Amino acid sequence: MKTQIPPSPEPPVEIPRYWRTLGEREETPEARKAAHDEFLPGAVDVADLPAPSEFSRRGFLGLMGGAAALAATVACDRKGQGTIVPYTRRPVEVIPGVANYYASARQEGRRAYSVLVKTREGRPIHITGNDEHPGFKGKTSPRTIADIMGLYDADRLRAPKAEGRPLAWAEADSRMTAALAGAKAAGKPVLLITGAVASPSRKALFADLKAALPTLEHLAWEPVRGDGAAEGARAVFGTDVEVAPRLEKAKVVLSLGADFLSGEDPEALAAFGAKRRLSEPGQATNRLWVLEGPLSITGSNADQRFPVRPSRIAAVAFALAKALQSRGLGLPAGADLSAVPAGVPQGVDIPAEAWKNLVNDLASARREALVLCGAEMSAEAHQAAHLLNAMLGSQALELRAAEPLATVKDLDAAMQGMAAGRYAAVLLWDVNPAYAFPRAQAWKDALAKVPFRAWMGLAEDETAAQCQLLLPVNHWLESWNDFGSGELFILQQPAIGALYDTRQGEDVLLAALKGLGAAVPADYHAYLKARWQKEVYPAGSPVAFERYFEVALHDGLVKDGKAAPAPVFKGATLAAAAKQALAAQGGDLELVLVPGFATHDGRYANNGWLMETPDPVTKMTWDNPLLLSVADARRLKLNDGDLATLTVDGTTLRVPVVLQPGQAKGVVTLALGYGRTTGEMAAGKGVNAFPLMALDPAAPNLRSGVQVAAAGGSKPLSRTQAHHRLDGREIVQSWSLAEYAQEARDRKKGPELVTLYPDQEFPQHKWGMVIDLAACVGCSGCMVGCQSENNVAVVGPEQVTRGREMHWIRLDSYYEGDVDNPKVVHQPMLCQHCDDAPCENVCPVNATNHSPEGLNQMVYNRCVGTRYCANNCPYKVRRFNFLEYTADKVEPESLIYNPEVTVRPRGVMEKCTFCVQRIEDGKIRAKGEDRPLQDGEITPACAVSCPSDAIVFGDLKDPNSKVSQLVKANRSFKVLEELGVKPAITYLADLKNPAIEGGQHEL
Amino acid sequence: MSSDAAIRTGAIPERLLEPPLTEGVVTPGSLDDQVLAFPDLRPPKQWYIGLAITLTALVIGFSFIGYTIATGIGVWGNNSPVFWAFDIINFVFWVGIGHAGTLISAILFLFRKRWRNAIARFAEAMTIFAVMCAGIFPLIHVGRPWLAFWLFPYPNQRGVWTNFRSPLLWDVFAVSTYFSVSLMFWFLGLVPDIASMRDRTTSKVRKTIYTVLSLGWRGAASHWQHYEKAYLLLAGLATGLVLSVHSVVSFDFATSVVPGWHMTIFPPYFVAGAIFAGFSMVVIVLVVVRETMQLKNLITMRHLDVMNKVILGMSCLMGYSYMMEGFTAWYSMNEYLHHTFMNIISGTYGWAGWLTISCNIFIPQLLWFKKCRTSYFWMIFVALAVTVGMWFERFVIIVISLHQDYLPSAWRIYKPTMVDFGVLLGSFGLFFTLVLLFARVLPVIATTEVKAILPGAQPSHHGDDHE
Amino acid sequence: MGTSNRREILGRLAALVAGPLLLGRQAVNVAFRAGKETPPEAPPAEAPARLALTPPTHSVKRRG
Repeated sequence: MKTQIPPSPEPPVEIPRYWRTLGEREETPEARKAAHDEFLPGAVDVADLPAPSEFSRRGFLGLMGGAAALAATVACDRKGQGTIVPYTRRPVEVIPGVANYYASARQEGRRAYSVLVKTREGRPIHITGNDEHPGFKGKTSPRTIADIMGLYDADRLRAPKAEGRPLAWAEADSRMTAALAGAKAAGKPVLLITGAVASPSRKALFADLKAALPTLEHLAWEPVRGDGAAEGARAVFGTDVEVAPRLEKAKVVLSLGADFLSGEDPEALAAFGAKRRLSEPGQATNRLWVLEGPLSITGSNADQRFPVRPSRIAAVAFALAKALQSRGLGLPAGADLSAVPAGVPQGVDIPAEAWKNLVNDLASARREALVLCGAEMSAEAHQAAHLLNAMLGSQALELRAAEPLATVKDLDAAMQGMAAGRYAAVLLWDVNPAYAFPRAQAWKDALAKVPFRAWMGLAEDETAAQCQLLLPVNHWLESWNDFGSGELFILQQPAIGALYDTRQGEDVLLAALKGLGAAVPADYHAYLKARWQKEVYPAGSPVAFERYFEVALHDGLVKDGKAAPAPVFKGATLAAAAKQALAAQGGDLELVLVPGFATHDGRYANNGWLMETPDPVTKMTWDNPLLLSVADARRLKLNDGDLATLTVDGTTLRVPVVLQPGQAKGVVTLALGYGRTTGEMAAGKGVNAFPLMALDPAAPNLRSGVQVAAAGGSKPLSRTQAHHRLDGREIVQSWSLAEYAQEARDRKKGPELVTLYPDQEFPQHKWGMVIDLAACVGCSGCMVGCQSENNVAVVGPEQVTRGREMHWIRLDSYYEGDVDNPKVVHQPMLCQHCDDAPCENVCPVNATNHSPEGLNQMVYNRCVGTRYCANNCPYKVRRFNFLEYTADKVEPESLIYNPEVTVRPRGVMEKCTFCVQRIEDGKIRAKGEDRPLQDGEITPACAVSCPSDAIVFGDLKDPNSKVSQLVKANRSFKVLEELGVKPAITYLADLKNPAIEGGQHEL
Repeated sequence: MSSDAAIRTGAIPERLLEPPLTEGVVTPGSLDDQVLAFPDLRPPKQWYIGLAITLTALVIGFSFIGYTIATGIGVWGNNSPVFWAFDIINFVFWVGIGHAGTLISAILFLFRKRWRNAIARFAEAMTIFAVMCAGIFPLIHVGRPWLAFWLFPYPNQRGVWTNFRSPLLWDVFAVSTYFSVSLMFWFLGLVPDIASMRDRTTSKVRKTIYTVLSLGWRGAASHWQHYEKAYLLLAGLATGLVLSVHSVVSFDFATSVVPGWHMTIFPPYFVAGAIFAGFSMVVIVLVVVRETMQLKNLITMRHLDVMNKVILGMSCLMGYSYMMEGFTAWYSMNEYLHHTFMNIISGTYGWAGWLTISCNIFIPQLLWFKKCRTSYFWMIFVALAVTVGMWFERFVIIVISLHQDYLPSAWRIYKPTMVDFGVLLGSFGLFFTLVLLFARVLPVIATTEVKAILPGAQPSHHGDDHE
Repeated sequence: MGTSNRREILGRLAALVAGPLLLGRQAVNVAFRAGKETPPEAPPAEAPARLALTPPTHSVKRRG
């Protein structure tokens, strides 16, 4: 070894004490220091030495230790472990682990939703309604919640593209400018097709563009918004109108095929729910009459529903007007109903008694009655509905003049113009006519004749394939905008910077404007602000504009207070319309084309959350079967899942069939928006029904003389519920008001359930839930909200067919009574968090157990997947990861995950947690602020997403909490209570208010 | 009584005398030559063909098992609400098959049923193999099989213990105890035979193996004394297990809340069913062994006749159980139970219900006839029907009960996939491969025990050879 | 002689163990160096595995 003690002289014998060196003996300062030091001078640490020629013991042990540690570390590496990348420079806005919220807004057709976007680490992950909005009150639509998926759609176009090659924006701009300038110079028209214009700033931008490019022709087109509604409104008001029901003011609501409770309109749902949520019999409620062909969500909630063929709806409406006239309600000036015979029109199966009651209800409620007409109905039906509202003088609706929308006829004209070589350029922005125009092939051929074709959109679609220049635009979560809805402006602001090399569509137009030589602000944000400063900012306000705008962005809205004047009703066209309505016949079978619940007009067909959310009525996912009435299906010898051919005007589709109880005889229904050919999720799901649409704008969605025939063979249905009969099981309670009165008076208490086990103890909290079935309409908003909050996997149609969908909350619907017109009850079903949960004692590894707060918890890490718990769950709300549904998810799709909820791998059971992450968040917040938890502070995602506030969550230990109060309500019941599992969820019985028997006679 | 008097005088009437349990002249030496020579003989061609078939089934099955483990339970037809299907059907089916062996070797031993001696070894081997087949399914049916060891209560740093309230955990104990006790019992019985084979064989390799396995057995009187005592003790232990194992397996169902599962009759009903299925399987295999291995003189028609009587008795018990199920459904006035019972006899899977009832109740009634009990054709026909019927009985219990339980909204039809059938085939492949291998390498008949029942082996004052 | 035999065997055993070890180490070195020495002219990956997330500009957050 190198360490050697220097040789020391012989020690003198006379020195009695021990010493090591001469210096030490003489106690020199150096020696004293040396003695203090651990190592003698000359001692060297091995580690500091140059590499030894042979292995030292120390080095060997060091390396061995290192190797062992390394081996142990490597051996401990787990598959699927990701890398944690910390921020090198943290963005100012982003605090890891803390959610940011942005008020923003979103448009769907003419409707704008004010929303609150939750972001985590810069990623938008969850959408709720804006709580500041006086109408939405924190609620929004299922499609809005799900549209976050559009942001992370893997199919999004990530950079501009021309002729199949990526392109820089500068080049794209110059090509666009060149084309537009060329058209301007040549005086040739330029066609711009967009969706509905709901934004005043966008409208101003279009006006600026029109000024810079006078040959611009603009069409705002919404393929499923119902041209009949537009034509009808134009006939009686001379303008397009938007009808906003005010259900809080209505005692009697009559729907003529209007599906206003579909979840699209959270305000309507909130008002409807509020009217139905009775705590005592005899309280004021409303009555919903529905006359419709297909069974809609609205129809399933009706107090009185009668199946009526859509071709006869207009005749029914005119007959009602006639009946009301005879009851003394005045006709508006110019209206003439002399040709309308009294009584129920022929071909309509409404009993005379019911008809009398309906007329009575409307005539007695008058201003508190409301008639709504479905968008798919004919123009005549809409005219008649407007007439009825005018006669009733209804207060329960708001009519607003609206920006006109292009009808199929306008599109057809544009197509003919393109074919004739009229246009120099076409700009298609967020529209997909190559898919959604009824004559798609003719459209494609015509479009090919336009020299310059530019497409703006999120993901390449059928239309993009026809265009030369593809310009990817921002998702709305990356965009600025404003929307005006009467007295209120709502603002859209980005919740995230653009993910890709994309631009907001408005910015593309601004660049074009700049190219055309107009003086415009640098970007749309500046444009919007400038317009707001000029138009919206109140003159003489004490607040500076910057501050004013900041507050507006913070709140997401500004109250303007300027109500637009209501359009004036003119009855001149009614006589002709009535004549046409009386003559209208649907033939042997008639077809109604309705917007898909998930797909709408096809734009959400690539959205897995929506595609897998079952249609609230048919419970179908990923597909659009042809819905037949049971009687027609029997006649045609068709059964659920059988393939049939549907022929309309020479166009034939092959579709699977679903028998829909409640559908009017002679009516078949097909949903639009399926059968896309692009998009990873969308392609090949269902059939495209747009080719069946008529080019007649009066009623493009209604086709008569339809032929349906068995095509042989069948298709397994990707349906989540196929059994709707209760068979006398008391799983769900639905009472008429008379039954409610009786139940409230003398309700039988079931026998006391005894148990051998001691009761569970809940020292602090006991979480519970109450679901009011009277308020629940079945819109499925809770399902989408839950899916978003809890990272619920999308499994695809094949897995749904096999019965493996993963939804933690589902909507069960049960039919009762006549198969031609059954009573329907919807029941949200989720983990009941039973106190004596049957799932808990059968798990061999203790992976599911009870928390001291009453939660039935699922420990994913511990679960080995015996599935015994799911077998033993009487509610069948447990979901098993039969296959690996999540591990293959990469960015951008994985960015949608909520970091507070574990993403479950295959082989693991999962189920509703009552949003335990929100409970804990609330508790931590309260503890941090040193205060007790407040009632209503903790809300699970389903409750937040429920537009009609049917779901109430809270602490059952707190006797004053809302949930504790509701549990004691006289409508309360528990599902399968007789099993003694003590569920923590209480349901409140559904209420129906029929006119004939058991309902309130005095409304 | 005259017969008592006859016994006192030593003149036992012919009809009361137990007939000889072997046919023809069997001496201890000829017995050894007949039974213990097999391992030293070159197997016949049929054996190779049989092994090729069973190995093919085994390989197919295990490839499907590998596929399942690699991909997930989703490759099976299981769904919500039918979370259990072929996996647990096969498990219960094989555990049931595994009941005959121990019953024959232990319970009949305690009852001094001497006819059991010739067939006990084979039946016990079948028990072991059937339990091995059964053991595969709980392992592969879990979602994450690599974590299946968590079902064992072992000390761990996580501080998580297993849930002793779960019937699945009881299963783990019941089946593993049953397997180990059966294995010990079987091996104990084999020791003297292996020692004989050790002494007979000329092959060095075999000799070494048999030497190790015979545990130094020399046939000393003290060896025999200890052996008999241990055998008796293990028989006593195994007797309790025969009744407990399938009772515990039935608790998986009986203690749940699923209508159609939650029934107090399940434990005895399952045990009867297990003996029923096990005996049928023994009959099938015994007939094949008896014919192909020329053991007709040792496994006589009388053995088969007695076995068939047990099958008939069990069939009647099954019939009673089925009727009780119907009675309970009616008498309880429980609409859910009623619905489940109606599903068994009508409904989508009504055919499976009727197949079960026909195979398990109606067809075995043929065994009332002596002609059927002693005819290969009829007994094989009945035994195959019972095997099919008992498999479908578990299908009825598991799939029919689960597919429509409480909430109609959750009801769904179950359809098995190719993989389900493949794994089932694989389990049969494993079982028969093991049976074939066993028949070649170990004595299929317990020679030491049969020697004890040979004419003259039990000296008595009334026996013929005393004179 | 026994000693020399044993030595020989030990040497062979050492070679048997060390050979794969050294080769393996070399292989590991090659593998790791390959990462560092990616030729600069190699085409860039089609899309980055992780997307660059940027906070929105000009937006006003509600709370957090």
